[in-house]
Amino acid sequence: MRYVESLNRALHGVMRDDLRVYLIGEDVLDPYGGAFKVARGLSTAFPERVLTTPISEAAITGFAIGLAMRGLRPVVEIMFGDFLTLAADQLINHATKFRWMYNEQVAVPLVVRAPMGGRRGYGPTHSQCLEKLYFGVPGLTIVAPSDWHDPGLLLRRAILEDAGVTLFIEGKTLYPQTLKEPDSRSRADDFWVRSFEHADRRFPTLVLGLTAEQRADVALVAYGVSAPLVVEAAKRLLIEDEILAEVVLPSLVVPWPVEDLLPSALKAQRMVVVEEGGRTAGWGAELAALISDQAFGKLLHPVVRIGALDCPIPSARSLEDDILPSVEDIVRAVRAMMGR
Amino acid sequence: MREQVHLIRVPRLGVNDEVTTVTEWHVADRQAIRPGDVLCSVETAKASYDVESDLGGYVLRLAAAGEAVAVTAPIALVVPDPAWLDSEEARGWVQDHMPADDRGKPQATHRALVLSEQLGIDLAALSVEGIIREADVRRAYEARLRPAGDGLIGALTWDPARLPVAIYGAGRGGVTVKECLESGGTYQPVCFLDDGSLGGSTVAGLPVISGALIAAVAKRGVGALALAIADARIRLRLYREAEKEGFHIISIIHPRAYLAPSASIGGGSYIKAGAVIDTNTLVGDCCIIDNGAMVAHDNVIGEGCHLAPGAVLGSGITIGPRTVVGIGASVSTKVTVGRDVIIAPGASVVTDIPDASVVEGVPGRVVGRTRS
Repeated sequence: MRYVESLNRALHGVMRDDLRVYLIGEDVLDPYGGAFKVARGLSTAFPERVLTTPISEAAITGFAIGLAMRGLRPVVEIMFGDFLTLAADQLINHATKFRWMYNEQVAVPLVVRAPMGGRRGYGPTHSQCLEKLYFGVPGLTIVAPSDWHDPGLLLRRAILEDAGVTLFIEGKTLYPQTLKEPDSRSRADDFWVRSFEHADRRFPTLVLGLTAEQRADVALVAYGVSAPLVVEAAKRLLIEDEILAEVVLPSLVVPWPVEDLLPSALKAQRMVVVEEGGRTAGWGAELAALISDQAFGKLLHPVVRIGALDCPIPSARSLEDDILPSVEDIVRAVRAMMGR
Repeated sequence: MREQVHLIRVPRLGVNDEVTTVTEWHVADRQAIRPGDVLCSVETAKASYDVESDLGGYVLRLAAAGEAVAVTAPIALVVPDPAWLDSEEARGWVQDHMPADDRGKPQATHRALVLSEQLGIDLAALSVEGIIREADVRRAYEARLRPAGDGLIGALTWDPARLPVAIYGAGRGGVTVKECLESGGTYQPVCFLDDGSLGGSTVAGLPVISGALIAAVAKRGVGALALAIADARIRLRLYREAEKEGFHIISIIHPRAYLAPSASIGGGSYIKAGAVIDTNTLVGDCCIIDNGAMVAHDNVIGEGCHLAPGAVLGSGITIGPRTVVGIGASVSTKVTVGRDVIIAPGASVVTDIPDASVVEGVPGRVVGRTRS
């Protein structure tokens, strides 16, 4: 099944199972079905609960906050994640604060879905991974499934099981990808799926290895659209250098899933964190600090961060490739860490 | 005939699509079609689409219904003559035009590929789950050799008053190591280990045993290993791996080399006849200090370096890992030379040299970069 189908089916299922679920966004009605077709068929099946709106992310989000406070389970579709800047006040000063400001008398069970990422030639304002602007907002959970997770299941949990505000980051480049579905022996695409750390938790972390043995020389950590990069880098490192990489794919971005990553970091004693957002003050920066708090002196190398360069994303695909992290960047960084 | 074959490819319907699924075929193999006939329906993430033929003729399907096909890959042929579809030529033609199918072909690391070629191991015959690594090939070779190898190892003998040594590398360098060890009184070389095709033969009067059997040789009681490998990276890797196998890797110092009492030599190094290493000089692991190389006092030489015959080093010099100083080249006092540098024969280095440089001439100039 493709990533986009998994999300679409989940929305169909959730709206069928729970009448409190509403979908609100721009151009979400059939036959268009949303810019990336995640909403396809929903307005036909549930015409009264799929609301297409004028172009105002602040209004859409504020409206959804009201629905949530009155007991519904709204899902907001932001057409491009870049437009989340327009919803910032509603999310930071309203949605995530009401529970505290009103002394737990209200809850805001809200899911805001946003496609992020570049490599499509969409230019500087439609290609970013802006979720990092929302790191460190108290009360905001950020979830980003990769093609190794079950995106539909995670979306369902965010909508129905989480009473807080969730930013649900979808990968533009992941939408057409076929999901990796491990067989009965936990194998998929040359990898062994070693463990779901805290698999019973709502948003699990997936650990992948290319060998039956558990040893690892380096842990490669990434979420969402960067997952395919670390997966490919792990293959190249084994095939070209016989370096064993363990791939760690959290679906929970924030709060930082440190306890899921720590076992791999301590085992491999080397860790690389990859994100498509800018490297400065990014996900990896905080993660490096958190891992160092607990593993200082037990690592062979400081945590290495790989992210986009700090500049706008160009429209030209070739320039985009120069600015966004690549498989080659990861392979080169690991070789340098290993002294090769 | 070939020039009349018309290929139908999966259209790229959206910039985001890498694969397309063939949902349904509307024609059968060898069916006659007219221009504009719908051949099949395909579906992408965003759309479904009917694929038409712009030519008439006879059709051959190249993908099954339900199959996911890479965008722009061929899905059907249209030809004017249905008989051609059964010809040998047609089969070859289709094979040439289909994307390579690597499924079922064993995947192996580069090191495993190199070793499998050296040892003549068929990767397809290995029962390894996942990507085949060098150690898997080594194990397969060991298993194949075991009867002969075991006999060879069991027959190793030595003078109990001396320490038995295996020499890794049965080339010409290995023979110099053998003679060097024999000219001292401590060690007795008992066999060569070699990854090439020499396994089972005899070199300079000693049996050659495959490197794959290194663990068995250690178990036999040959606890010391001398390295005779020219490539610094392989030398360093073997040095680290062999220690894990239970070997002690010795430094080889020719009795006619001069080593100052305060000088220090790392493990796995080879100091050849006529070399001079003076006061307080530190030589790293796995270095080769060749015949007549002169290393004055207070130098630091990184791991895996090679000072070729007649190389001359002044004092207070630092040389980075894996650097090669060519025959008769010289390095002046207090110069710092980076890692992975190659100093050409006869060059005279008088200034600091950055990492991974190639240096030539008198005075030495950086003329290129090494691959590293």
